[in-house]
Amino acid sequence: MMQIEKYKTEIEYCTLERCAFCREGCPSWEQMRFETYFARGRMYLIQGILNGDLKLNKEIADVIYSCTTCGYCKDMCEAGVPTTDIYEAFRKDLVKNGFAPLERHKKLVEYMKHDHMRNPYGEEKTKKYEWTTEFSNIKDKGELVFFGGCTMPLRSPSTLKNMIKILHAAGKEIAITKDEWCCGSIGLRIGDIKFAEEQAKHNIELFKDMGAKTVMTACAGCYRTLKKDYPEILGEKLPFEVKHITELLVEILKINKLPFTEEKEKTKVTYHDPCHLGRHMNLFEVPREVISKIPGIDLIEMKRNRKNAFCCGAGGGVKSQFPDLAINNAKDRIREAIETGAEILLSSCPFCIGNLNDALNEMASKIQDKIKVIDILDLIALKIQEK
Amino acid sequence: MEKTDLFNEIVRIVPIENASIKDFILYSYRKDWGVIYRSFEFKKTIEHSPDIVVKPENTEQIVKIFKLANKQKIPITPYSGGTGLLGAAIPHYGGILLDMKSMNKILEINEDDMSVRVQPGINLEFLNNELKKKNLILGHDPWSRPSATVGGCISTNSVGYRATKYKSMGEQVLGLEVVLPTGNLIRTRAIHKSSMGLDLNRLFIGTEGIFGVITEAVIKAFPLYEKRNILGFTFENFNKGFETVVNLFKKGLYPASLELEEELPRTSNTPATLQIVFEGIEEIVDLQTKMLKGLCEKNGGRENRARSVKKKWEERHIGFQKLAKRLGLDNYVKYHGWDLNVGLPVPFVKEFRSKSLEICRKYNINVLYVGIWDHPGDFFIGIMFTPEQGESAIKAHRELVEEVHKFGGTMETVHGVGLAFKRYMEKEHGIWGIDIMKKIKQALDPNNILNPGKQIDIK
Ligand SMILES: Cc1cc2nc3c(=O)[nH]c(=O)nc-3n(C[C@H](O)[C@H](O)[C@H](O)COP(=O)(O)OP(=O)(O)OC[C@H]3O[C@@H](n4cnc5c(N)ncnc54)[C@H](O)[C@@H]3O)c2cc1C
Repeated sequence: MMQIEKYKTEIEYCTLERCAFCREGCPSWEQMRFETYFARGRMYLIQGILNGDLKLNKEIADVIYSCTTCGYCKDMCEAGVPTTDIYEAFRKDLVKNGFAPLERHKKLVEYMKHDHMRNPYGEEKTKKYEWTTEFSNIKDKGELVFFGGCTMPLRSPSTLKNMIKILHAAGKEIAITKDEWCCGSIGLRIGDIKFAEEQAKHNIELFKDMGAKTVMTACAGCYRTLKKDYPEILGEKLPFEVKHITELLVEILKINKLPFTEEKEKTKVTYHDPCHLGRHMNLFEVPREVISKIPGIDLIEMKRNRKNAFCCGAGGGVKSQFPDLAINNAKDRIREAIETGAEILLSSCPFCIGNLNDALNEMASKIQDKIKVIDILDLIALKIQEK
Repeated sequence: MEKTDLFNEIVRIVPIENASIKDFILYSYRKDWGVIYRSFEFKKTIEHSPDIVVKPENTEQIVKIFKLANKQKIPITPYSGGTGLLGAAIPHYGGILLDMKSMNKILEINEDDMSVRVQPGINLEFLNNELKKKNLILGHDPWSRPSATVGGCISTNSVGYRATKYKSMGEQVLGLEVVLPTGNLIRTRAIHKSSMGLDLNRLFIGTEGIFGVITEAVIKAFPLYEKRNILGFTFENFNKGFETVVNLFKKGLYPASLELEEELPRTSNTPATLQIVFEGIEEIVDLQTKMLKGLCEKNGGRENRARSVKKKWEERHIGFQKLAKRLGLDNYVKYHGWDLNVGLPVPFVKEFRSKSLEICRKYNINVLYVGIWDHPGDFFIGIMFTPEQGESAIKAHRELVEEVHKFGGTMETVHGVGLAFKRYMEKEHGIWGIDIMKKIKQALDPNNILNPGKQIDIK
């Protein structure tokens, strides 16, 4: 039996209703602009497979993998057709039938299977911890464990250094293990469930050994995977709590623990909701609360925010397999951010920030002069640096 | 012409990434919302794949596509939001499907003229949001606002929630640019009045793309209201509510939106709720509100709680989804259903309501609701039935149409004709009425290539 058969009724509902409220704002539709590339068209395609009109093939796999699984369509569907769950189920079917993982995804999974790597970037594992060397206050064991993930330590280690500065200023200590594996998000999003399970089990054991009461991460993708997917994989509650860094920051800022510098002038910023934090995990207000506590900051929302936020285009394996699609969406998002008049585009996901910056680097220099894309952590560190 | 040859010709006109003959692309264009909804008289599915999907970017490309299609006698179907209810956008004879959604630019907002010039593939919600930035709004506000397009709405002459004040989409049209089936281009003058003969805009309003493809439209924009009051009242029964509505118009009150609805109606004494929206200048809105309250009170209407009234209004774009939730998806997908939006001379509305309930009872068909939308003469009835009841539902439907015509009414005021209602066109317009339409079609489209099989059949 195919995994998608479970969703037959929901798929039928969508193809009967055909309201297409999921269209305007779907990242793959915005770029491809054929019906097939948003939920209504995809559901119809999947139905075609189920009723035998269409056969599974590589092209259909491409359509399904061109979705960033941002969840916009699922949220727009008032009847609650769980579109992203349906895609993930279908991806499992594609893997099972040999049409996936797609080329680039295969490579990522391959890297992660090597013990000396265990990250999708094909880097040596030791490289993930280079950023920690300048800090003596990071422990190996403790109640507050920090899970670095892969993207942040390998692609934006400076943000992690900023995080330590902030935590230090707040009097918080964290423990880090040098044997963490990729959280497994990639496996889950591309339908390679077996691999994801392996990663999850390894990491959970590790956290337990470290005595974790709380596992914290600064990556939206890891956060969703740890908090939402791990218990599902394990089939039981996790023996620790999972937090995103912004959840800890909001606690810290509530008791006013950060030595911010005085600000006379206001800086306009805007905030991009990472899909894995916002739509997937409902963390819309926490990052905003954090931003609102930073002195001298004026937060202006983009036209599409919170549940309506436009995906940066990178998720669901799209960045690696269809890089142009990812970049073009990010360019649209940057234009939207500039429209607000903000000088800084903030986010709280290294993957979004990386993609947005890749896009910005390809844009005209007068656009580059208008806006910077950074993590909330970078902004806070900037405002307490003088101390 | 072979598909690949057609593709090769087409990509000489549009960029290669704007055309596709791949099965997985064509498959998603096999239908609009016409499949279950009201098309139940089709024994077989009306879905059909095009041979090629093309996303034109400008008028010039469309002109060239028409020249090619005429030479090769290939059907062309315009397709925009794909939310139409009657199969009008289904490529019933295959051929070229023009997905108009890539022509979606705002070309000019003219604040003093209170109009906006757009490409037809623009989505209503987006356009409305852009207009708001200039203190203007669109008058057209259909349930499908988040996904329907300007071109599709003009072509179906669709009707929105605020049509009491702003009227149907056709009334918003000031000027059009249209590619005729022969590939010739016409541009009507975008002005607010003209007495220079036949109003050519009308040829393309509500005619579902059978006479031409709209490539540009100038439509009205309206001032962003200063105040909006949303009010709800419950009446003892439909007739009491209806009389209030008639009085309200006779008094000269001018709501933006009006809906009188009776859920799960019995013959008499099911309570009916009236929802009225006033929008505009604050003092005028307040004065109308006060007058309305007086009128309702006189007929025993009780004012509903503000919160529930507001919620109902805010959820106006998600009606069916709510129904699906209530019934559960499993049940929902099992049922068939349709809404009949008929237009009647006002004096016959009450009688038609009783008659329609009688007919449905006779055939054992479930009536979900009946009511009035936008104008006292615009009556709607929503029914639901199981596949086993299909034959009875068809009979009930035919009798309802019969009754509408007997009362001098029109069988549809909102959603158009498409494939599904084609069989009623002669009844509606008479032999000579249809004859005019056919002659126009033959004159404009000698090869019958543009959206063939919709509204009328040409030999
Ligand atoms: C959930 C839902 C709610 C709805 N609510 C309403 C409502 O409140 N009121 C209402 O009136 N309707 C409603 N509809 C029906 C539908 O939205 C309208 O008929 C709408 O006008 C169709 O617009 P579209 O862009 O989707 O056109 P399509 O369905 O793509 O096309 C409709 C017709 O127009 C033709 N066409 C499209 N573009 C062009 C063009 N550029 N030039 C020439 N011909 C063209 C097509 O060939 C077809 O014949 C609803 C539909 C859904 C799914």
